[in-house]
Amino acid sequence: MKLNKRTTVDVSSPCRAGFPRPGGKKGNIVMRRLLIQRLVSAVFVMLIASFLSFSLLFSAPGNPAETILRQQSGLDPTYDEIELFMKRHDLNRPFLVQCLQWLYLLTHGKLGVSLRTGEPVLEEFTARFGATFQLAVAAMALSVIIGLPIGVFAATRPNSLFDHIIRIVSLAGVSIPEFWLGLMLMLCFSLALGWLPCFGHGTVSHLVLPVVTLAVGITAFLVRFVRTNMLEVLNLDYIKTAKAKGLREVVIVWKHALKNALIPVITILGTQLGHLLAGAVIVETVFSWPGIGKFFVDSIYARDYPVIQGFVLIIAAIYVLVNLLVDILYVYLDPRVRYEGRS
Amino acid sequence: MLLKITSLRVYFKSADGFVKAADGVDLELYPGEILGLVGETGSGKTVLGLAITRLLPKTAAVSGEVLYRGQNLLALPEEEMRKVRGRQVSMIFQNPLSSLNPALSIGEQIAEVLREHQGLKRKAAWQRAGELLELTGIPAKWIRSYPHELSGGMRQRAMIAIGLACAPSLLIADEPTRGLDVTIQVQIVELLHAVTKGVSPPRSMLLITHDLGVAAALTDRLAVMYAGKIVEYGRTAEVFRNPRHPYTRALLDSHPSNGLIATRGFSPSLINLPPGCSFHPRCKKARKKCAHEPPLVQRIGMDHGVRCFYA
Amino acid sequence: MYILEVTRGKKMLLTGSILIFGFMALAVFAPFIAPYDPDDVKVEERLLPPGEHHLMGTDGFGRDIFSRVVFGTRYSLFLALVVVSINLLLGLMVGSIAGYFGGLVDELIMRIVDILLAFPNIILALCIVGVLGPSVQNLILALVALGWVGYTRVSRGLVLSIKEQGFIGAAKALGGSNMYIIMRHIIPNAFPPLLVLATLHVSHTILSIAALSFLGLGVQAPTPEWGAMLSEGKQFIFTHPHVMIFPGLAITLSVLSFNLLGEGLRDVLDPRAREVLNV
Ligand SMILES: Nc1ncnc2c1ncn2[C@@H]1O[C@H](COP(=O)(O)OP(=O)(O)OP(=O)(O)O)[C@@H](O)[C@H]1O
Ligand code: SF4
Ligand SMILES: [Mg+2]
Repeated sequence: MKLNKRTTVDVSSPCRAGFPRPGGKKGNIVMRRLLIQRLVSAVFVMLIASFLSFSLLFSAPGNPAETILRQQSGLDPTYDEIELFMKRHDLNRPFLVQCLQWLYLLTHGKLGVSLRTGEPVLEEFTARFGATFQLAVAAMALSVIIGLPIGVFAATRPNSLFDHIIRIVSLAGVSIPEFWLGLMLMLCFSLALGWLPCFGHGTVSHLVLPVVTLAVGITAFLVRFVRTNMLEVLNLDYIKTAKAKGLREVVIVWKHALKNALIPVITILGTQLGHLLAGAVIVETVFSWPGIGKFFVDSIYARDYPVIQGFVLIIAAIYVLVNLLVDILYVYLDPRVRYEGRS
Repeated sequence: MLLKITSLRVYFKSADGFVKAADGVDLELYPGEILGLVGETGSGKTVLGLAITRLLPKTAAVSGEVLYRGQNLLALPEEEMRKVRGRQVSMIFQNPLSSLNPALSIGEQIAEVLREHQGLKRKAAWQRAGELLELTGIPAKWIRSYPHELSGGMRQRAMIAIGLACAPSLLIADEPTRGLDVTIQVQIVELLHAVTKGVSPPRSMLLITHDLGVAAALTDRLAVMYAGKIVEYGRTAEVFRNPRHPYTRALLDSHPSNGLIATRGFSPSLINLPPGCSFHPRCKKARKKCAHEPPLVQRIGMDHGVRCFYA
Repeated sequence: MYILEVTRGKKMLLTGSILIFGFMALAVFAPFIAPYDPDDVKVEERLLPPGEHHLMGTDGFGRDIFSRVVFGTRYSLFLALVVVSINLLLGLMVGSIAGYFGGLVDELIMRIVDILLAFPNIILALCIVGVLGPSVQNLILALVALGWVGYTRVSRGLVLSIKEQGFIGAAKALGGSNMYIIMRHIIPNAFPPLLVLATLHVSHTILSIAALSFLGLGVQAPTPEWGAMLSEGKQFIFTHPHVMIFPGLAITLSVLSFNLLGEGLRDVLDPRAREVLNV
């Protein structure tokens, strides 16, 4: 191919002055500004969370010491016993003093001691976190593995029979209460069919029912979200370009469209963490899964305030952290944000 | 003849009836020739380009014939058609910013065409993509940049590079100079000239444009479209010197910057076209007959035709 | 595409409305529909399987499950509607103020909203009910505590886009007061998209209430609320599953009908209004 000489000369003139390279200086500044902004707001969230979770204790009716002692001994505690207990746990100091004391300890990584078990709250948490993490990660993975392809598939055949079926099934999926679904699965697969154990923890077969229970809602949500996003993307101009290039449908859908549709999907997965945590509380309770969710609910029943406070705080921290990570990931995934700092 | 379109009709189904975006279009394109397609906005130019490449949405009903090298593209199985796109016929769309994939680097967007149609391996494809970028006037070191990092002119060059990747014999360019600064428009025109007339054998191009200046500079022949029909065609110089259709005349008298709305009145609704000659409500020369009887194309010279009773 | 969506939306809307209408009817006419008193304990009729006399069988106290499910409609629907209404009004008010006045007020409100949005809401709800003690008031409080922020954000966006349109300026030029403009122009225009949000939120709320009650932290046991019924019945899951099946089905179906209605409304809504919902 021969080219007219004039065309190739002076290629730099039509581009904007100071053309920034990807990942260059400007990209870094945008990243840093975004990061700082998010970090500041994360710190604020945590401060308010600590204050709220601490004041919770003081809005509670009745005396926690009394409740605990009654639970421990099964008898109504005497006045002296209550006094002694409160003194030992600093429960009778003024609100602000306790609050500051708590914050001080917090900054030293001390979250107090469980009233029920006498163990440090942080240790109670870390001891159980693994079980919940296992559940959450498995459920999330299952949802993505199943939900993503189905959502993409439905979007490539809008208003087909498959699409309609998926739509109804996924709507049902987000409508089923998790605790009930868990019990029904147990009934079906443990009791009636005898395929899987319903309680306990340790082997893969123990994992199946809780994970499926937890995954159904997220999968259904994901299918719908992916479908909507893919439909939107598939209507955009650059998909027409991809078709005009003679690319195969597989490439157009799974590369050109999905790569763009995936960006919001990944952010939404971060918000699904809240759903996952809530689900974990329910599912762990139903399946007696020894994770943080079950321990949290048991602590609520027992009014184990240090545990409630500490767990809320840690959960909030995890939540904030994951969302921070998602924000950063988003910036990396979307070259447009990386460049323009759109948030 | 490279491309021969006969009585092409494209009707879109809509709530109020059929939108007749192309209503019996006949067009011929010879090898190595640049054919300009001009007309006011909404006259069906883009639809025509999309019909040739069969990229119209499913809501479009298409009939007629599009013969490319004697083969009817409209009757081709989808898989065969896919192999025509990008390899034999390339289309460069309006608005390069939205037509380039924002999540892929321009290098990848060029290289993937080469991998698909020419079976090049990863490295060879990227190598060739770099050459194509240089060819269209983008430094090869920008191969990894993303569309939003480029200026408007650079994006248009990248679009052209994609279109040229597999050396197609026909290029369809839809408003390639729209929205660009005048100096850059000139560069793009020169580039388009270079990649069509400047190669051997010369490459054919269907150039859709609003800009009569661009059409005059680049095209060999010109077709004027109005409300889904070709109302005049002929050699570019001939049409410019001796426009015979009242619409073409108004077009040439008008200023190019106003969206090519050439004359008094509004463009007709493509759903309820005026009876008779679709142009008659706006035509200065209209007579009684024009409102009742649709005019047919009259040949008025060597390769010059007009759809008007009183041309 | 849009037209197809509208027809499909109409179908969902119709199905959802019919179902919700049915549930409403059950709630209103519960005493006439239920064959038994939902609280009537008959020890000799414990855990009867579904049959001629008891359509859905009886529970561990010999109470008729069908009657309890019918009466349960009242609690689930009523509570959910109360929670959603409070959230909607609160969010709409705060959001309108933020969007309308802008500036510092807006900044402050949206900062608070952002912070509250960063909390996993069901965990906080659990905490509130857990600490304050399980009761209906605390249940409502827990679900309102974070529920309003979503509406605030959407209302604000709506108000901002409505403010752009000409007639607000015209109303101002005619000397309308701020309050008058908010009430007369902004809120009526912001309502349709918010209605979609609220409908979808009803289904969420039904689920949350049921979950909290199931954990024993919401509506308390003898009350025939569906979640509470499941909580009471879970000891019989393996021996008498019918105790568990029907209340759960009722929850699922009621949630599904509100989801159908919400989705249908969204599809029918014009695309411009829909955009605001995606914010
Ligand atoms: N997918 C579609 N569905 C319905 N109508 C369509 C569709 N695509 C195009 N049209 C209609 O077809 C007519 C021709 O559109 P087209 O885009 O070809 O115009 P154009 O000549 O390219 O105009 P412009 O100069 O503005 O690009 C327009 O009236 C348009 O509304
Ligand atoms: S046929 Fe009549 S109305 Fe149509 S262009 Fe010619 S003179 Fe005008
Ligand atoms: Mg066009």
